[in-house]
Amino acid sequence: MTGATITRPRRSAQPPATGRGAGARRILTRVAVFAVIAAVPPLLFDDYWVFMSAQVLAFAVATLGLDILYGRTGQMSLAHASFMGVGAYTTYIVSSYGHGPAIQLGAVVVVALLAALVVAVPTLRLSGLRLALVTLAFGELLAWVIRETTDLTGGTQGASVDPIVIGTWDSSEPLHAYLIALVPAAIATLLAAHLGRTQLGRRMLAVRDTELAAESVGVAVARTKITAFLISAVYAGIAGWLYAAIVGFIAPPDFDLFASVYLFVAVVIGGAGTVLGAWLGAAYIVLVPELFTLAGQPNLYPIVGGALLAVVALLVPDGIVGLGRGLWRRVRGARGGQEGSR
Amino acid sequence: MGDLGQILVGGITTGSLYALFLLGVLIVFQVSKSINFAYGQVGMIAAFSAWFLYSEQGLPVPLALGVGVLLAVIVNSAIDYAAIRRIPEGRPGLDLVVTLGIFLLITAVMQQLIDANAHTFVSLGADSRAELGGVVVSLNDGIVVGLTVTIIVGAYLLLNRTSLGTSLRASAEDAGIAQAAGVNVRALRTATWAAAGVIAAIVAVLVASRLSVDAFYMTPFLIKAFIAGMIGGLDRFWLPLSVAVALGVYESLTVFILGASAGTPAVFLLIIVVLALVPKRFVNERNEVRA
Amino acid sequence: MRLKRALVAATLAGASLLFAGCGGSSSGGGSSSAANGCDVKEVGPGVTDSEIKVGTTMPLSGSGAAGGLGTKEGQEAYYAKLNAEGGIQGRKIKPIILDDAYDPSTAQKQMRQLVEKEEILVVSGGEGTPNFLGAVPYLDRKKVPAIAPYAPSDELGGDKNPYVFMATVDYIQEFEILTNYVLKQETPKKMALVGVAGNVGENAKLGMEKALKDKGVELLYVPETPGTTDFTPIATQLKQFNAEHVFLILTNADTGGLLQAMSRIGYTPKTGAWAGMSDDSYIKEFGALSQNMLVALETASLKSENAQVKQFVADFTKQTGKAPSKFNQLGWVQAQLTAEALKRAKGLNRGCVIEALESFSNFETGIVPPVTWGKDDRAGVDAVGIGQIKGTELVVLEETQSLQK
Repeated sequence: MTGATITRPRRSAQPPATGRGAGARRILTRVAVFAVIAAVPPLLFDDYWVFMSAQVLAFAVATLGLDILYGRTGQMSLAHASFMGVGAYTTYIVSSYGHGPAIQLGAVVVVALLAALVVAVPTLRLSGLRLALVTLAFGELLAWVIRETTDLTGGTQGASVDPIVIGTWDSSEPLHAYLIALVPAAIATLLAAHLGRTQLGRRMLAVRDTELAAESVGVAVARTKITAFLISAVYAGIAGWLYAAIVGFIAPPDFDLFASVYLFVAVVIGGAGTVLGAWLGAAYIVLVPELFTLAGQPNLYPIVGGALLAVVALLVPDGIVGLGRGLWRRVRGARGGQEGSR
Repeated sequence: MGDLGQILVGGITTGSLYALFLLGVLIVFQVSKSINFAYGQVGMIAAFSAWFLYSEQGLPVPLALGVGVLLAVIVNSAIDYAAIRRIPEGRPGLDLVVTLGIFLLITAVMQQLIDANAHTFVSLGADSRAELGGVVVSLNDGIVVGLTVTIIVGAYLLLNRTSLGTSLRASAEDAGIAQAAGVNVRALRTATWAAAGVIAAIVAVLVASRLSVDAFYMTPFLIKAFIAGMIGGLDRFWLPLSVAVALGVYESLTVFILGASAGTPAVFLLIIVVLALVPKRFVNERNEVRA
Repeated sequence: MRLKRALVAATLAGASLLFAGCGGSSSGGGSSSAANGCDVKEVGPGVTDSEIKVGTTMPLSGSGAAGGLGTKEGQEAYYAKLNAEGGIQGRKIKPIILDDAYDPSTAQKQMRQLVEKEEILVVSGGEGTPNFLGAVPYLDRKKVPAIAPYAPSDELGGDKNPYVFMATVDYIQEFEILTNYVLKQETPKKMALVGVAGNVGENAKLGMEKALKDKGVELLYVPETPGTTDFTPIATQLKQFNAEHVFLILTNADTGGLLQAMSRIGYTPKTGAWAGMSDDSYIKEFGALSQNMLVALETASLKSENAQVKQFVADFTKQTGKAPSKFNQLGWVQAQLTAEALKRAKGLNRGCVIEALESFSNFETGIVPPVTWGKDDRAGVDAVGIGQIKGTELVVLEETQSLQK
């Protein structure tokens, strides 16, 4: 985690598509694939697995946000789960006054932006570990605020959150929760994917790869960093909103330092810097414990989960996406030969 | 006045423990450019197994402590050998993920092997105390501060006054060039990780003698040491170590003056103020350009 | 070619989702049967001709594991004994206890697993407050009765959560009784409380304030955050205030750490503490620092001469080959109360179990004070005993102290 650690490795930005038609086709294909996968849980799964899938959606929004900050801009945050907490607790407080999802969402976005400004502005000129440190302290501060405001937030023993009700849909039903979460998750994915093609997205990559060079070619480093931080905080806040609605109960341990580190784990294990990686990472942290339940050993995961994490991380240093790319290259290399295997 | 003195003694002692622990983090960071999230658990292994060996297995205390230190050295070296070295170049953040996995693994294993309870540790002089001007000082306080000063000064002299230290600093600066100049970089790296294991064990044993020992108790110390290291800079020496001691004193004073619930926001405020107001050249990492 | 790459990647994602779902095509959960009222003919989820499934979640790993592991052992020992004696209504009881790592969201997820996948009939006990509370909204929605979880909280035991049947007091009551006990012996000028910051500490403070109301006793409350690295400031603060009695509601490790810091600076007031300190694992480790400490007793002292307690110790030792701890005792009594409700139920379904639970009136377990539940009464007990740590023993001063009397 040196200065170098904080900065993502240089990976060539996506080469431009060969032509207009190819690009449109590619996007269409991806949307179709996304739709097909998204249709699987409601059609094939029972309540329990739909609930787990809905959780993957909420965490995917969070990891997409963290990936914008870390994977694309190279800034490390140890408070991403805390921003989820900001969103979740804002939801709880706003909904306890009887306000519906639209006002909740608006409040979540505003509060997440304000909290992010408080953290980001004093630390703009800092880099690397220093920013990580401030975010870590912010996480502690949030836990403190929750502890000290029992009447407002439910305190250390947590609070049960009213489900989101839209018409006849009620987010305490896993299927409804899944469908409600699907919309923001899809929008978040589209925006994150689109970001890579914008001016801002390219500025972020420049900041990630080398700050000095970015500055010398006229990129406003500080402004780019703070924009990335704000975007990621809003993503996290919305993820917290979804999480509160899906799970129906929130408590400080859901948003502590370890929760933040786990989101970081998700981005790295999935494959930093890619939208798909963020999704795979979210699936990893939500679903791997379930594999042990499926294998009939539900109490084994806490014991071997750590070892598994270390081994997986060492086996796929570029994340699951990187592994997929490597395999694909090898397959193609064996077939065509002109590009050669690695 | 006596009360304030008492707080200072407590704060300086705890701050010394942060500093000594941070020394282990610093030397590892400087030779291998990575952070070991499981470092606190390495110390925990030493103290928890020492407790198990003397209390449950009847080994003599010094022997049990010796075995504990040895275990910490083995485990810390193993973490470097089996995990950190295998992280390919240019994969930032992976050290954090891998060592988090090791952190969880060590915790689970120790809980399975020993138990999930908290235990009292040998007091190491906490019982023999003297009163100086209304302030109670225990032999344990003296041992903590004395050992910290000795080890830190020793490390400083070793790094700056010996040829071994020169080789170490050279390989920390640029391993490739040091290697070419005939320095055995690998051996130095192994020795550093082993030495960090010893330091972790010493700190963990001292902390256990003042509080108690279980599978989790070192994590708050690790976080405090990291905070001090990040404020002071992980690539420096005296600044982060002084910050560590100051952090201990600052915490104790705020808790005493403003109440126990003020500790957390006070630390947050300190971090923001220090990082936002202190002139840039003090807070910038030296090797900023490296990336 | 980009298209193909996207396909491969998407297939990977799809495969991982499918793999996760492959166990999940069976029936859609067991919520349908949890109707109100008792239909004698209805057979609830988890009940077959030979077996009744019950379950709960507890911390079996992580920092709260000590209590969870002990409670699990106690439950399993009781059910093993019960099954050896023929079970209930000709059926063996199968307890399924999942690890929640003391984490509320994990607890809720595991509870869903138990209710929807394992299809348990009822929740048998539980251990730990924040984690159990995480599962309560879900249990409420699914109308699954939870019997005697050890989760002291002012949230539970009232009419807010009608599906949770408590068999322990909350910390407000516990500290009110503990303070009352002191006030009966003497009239201190000052008392102090050091509590875990958050609901637990605040509840204990509320209980003390209730007892001290209009008594002219000054109270100092010091909240402590777990993971404190230096107890000197708190100890010094207490010394400065100079209370005659200091009450503590902290983890074992932090209780020990604070007492050590207090003794280091030469401040040795009379102390009192929550029921956790009545466990052998505490007395064995920190007994020397805790001489004459008053301890609330949520469960009967294992040294008690009471015939039912002796029977329990003998039974437990026979089942497991070792002497029981406080948490073993808690697990045992949770299973005992669950089994009693199943025995009384006119039909093996959730509605009838709830009806059976509401018929408990001063039910004697020998371990917790007599348990009473009724139509609108979910509190179960309102009493704790008082013990004192002397040497390496816990001496019982008073068996149970009810707030009613």
